[in-house]
Amino acid sequence: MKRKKYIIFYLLFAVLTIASCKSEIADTITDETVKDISGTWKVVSLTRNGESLTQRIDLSKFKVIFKSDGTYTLEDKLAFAVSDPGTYNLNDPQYPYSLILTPTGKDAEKISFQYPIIEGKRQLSLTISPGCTGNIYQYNFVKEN
Amino acid sequence: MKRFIKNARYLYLLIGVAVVIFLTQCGLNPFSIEMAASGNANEVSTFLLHGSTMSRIDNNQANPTYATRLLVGIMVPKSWNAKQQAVVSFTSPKGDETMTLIPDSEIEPVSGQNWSAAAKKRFGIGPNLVDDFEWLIYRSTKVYTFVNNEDINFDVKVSCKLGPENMLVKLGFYIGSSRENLRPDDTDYTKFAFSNQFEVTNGTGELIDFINPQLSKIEPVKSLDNDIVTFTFDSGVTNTSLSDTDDIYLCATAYDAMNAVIAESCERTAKNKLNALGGKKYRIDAWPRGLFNIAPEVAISRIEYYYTDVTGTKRVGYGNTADPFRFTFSCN
Repeated sequence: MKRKKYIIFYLLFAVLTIASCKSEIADTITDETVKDISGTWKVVSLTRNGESLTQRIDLSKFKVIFKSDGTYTLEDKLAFAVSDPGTYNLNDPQYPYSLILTPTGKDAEKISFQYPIIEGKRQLSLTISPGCTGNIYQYNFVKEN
Repeated sequence: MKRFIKNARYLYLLIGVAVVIFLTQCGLNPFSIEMAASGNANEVSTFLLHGSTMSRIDNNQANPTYATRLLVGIMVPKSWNAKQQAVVSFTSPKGDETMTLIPDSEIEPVSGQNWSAAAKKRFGIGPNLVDDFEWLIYRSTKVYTFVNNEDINFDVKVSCKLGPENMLVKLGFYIGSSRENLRPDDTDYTKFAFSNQFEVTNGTGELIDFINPQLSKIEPVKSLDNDIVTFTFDSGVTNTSLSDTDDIYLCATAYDAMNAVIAESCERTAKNKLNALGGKKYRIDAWPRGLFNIAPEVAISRIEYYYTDVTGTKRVGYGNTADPFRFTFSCN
């Protein structure tokens, strides 16, 4: 009789454990966050056609400021997709792969966008060709504290 | 008896070595390149590769044959637009074919990159000093099966319309087997070579010299004023008036499409100072629009530049004279 009680207890415990895991997994899958890139971003690395220019050109002054109202501004100037302030948006709020910058009074520029976590920090990785299309630049930004 | 055993050991060793040599001799022989020393810009030039096979297959294998598609690669300047302009074909006792360009979407199995990138990684740009080249790999549509001792000669013909610019280059060629792909350790089936110098004449612009050390060069070769460009000064090429100093500055003038001077950048400050790389080489990276502080609505069409010392009195330009180097911004 005592043995029977133990079996029932273990079965009940197993069912509850499995049921709780199931609901946890289900919650995780549907809970992809909306990507919020607002803030001031500074350049941490830059490559041209795969060759690093990070230590060869002054990147310290160039910054992109994305505001929560959907506008952006630039600090200093560099070979970049746009040179004027304007509005921005991501092609998908949860799974973006393009950043669209629209300078005021000009056509929109669609930029290849990645948002990886590197060494525990979000990076904004933008791939652009501001000059000849054959020259590919990859800018990696981190958010300024 | 002892002597017999000792001799038998030597015999086995000899047979073993012979078998290894026999098996490893299978593959392609080095090929030769037949081509003119020059060709006219915007006209078709032909390059011939004379190759041969050395088919040594162990007939004791379950299937003593070697079946493969032929691979042929060419390395040409990007400006030739060879993807559209080149035709690669071959003739052989086993059949003739016009080969098919392997598309960029297809991954070379060993490297995990597309074939063009994989070939560039494997073969590089050879004796050329400036990289504005692309490797294109072509493949036969048919599979060819070889049996032991089936040694054949074959000829590959590459026809390509040359680009519009005058240039001096060394072209790259590769012949290989689709069974081996671009396996880095394979030397039996992977043969590549770079040509003698080839000059494109009667084209546009000044001669672009890819093979001789240049006193100065700008990279990327194809760039606009909104690119970041690298100026390299190689004082080791020849003795110049700046050979005795490491403090070298860029002095440049920007022109618009109407050939009018837009701006000048000739500060002898950190902004225009070249960094020493060692071996009398110096480099500065610059964003031309920023270097000249150009207004958004203005475009720089070309620049003239020279190198100078901190006093501004010494000056090294084109051909080690006081005349400036010239560079036109263009993507073509």
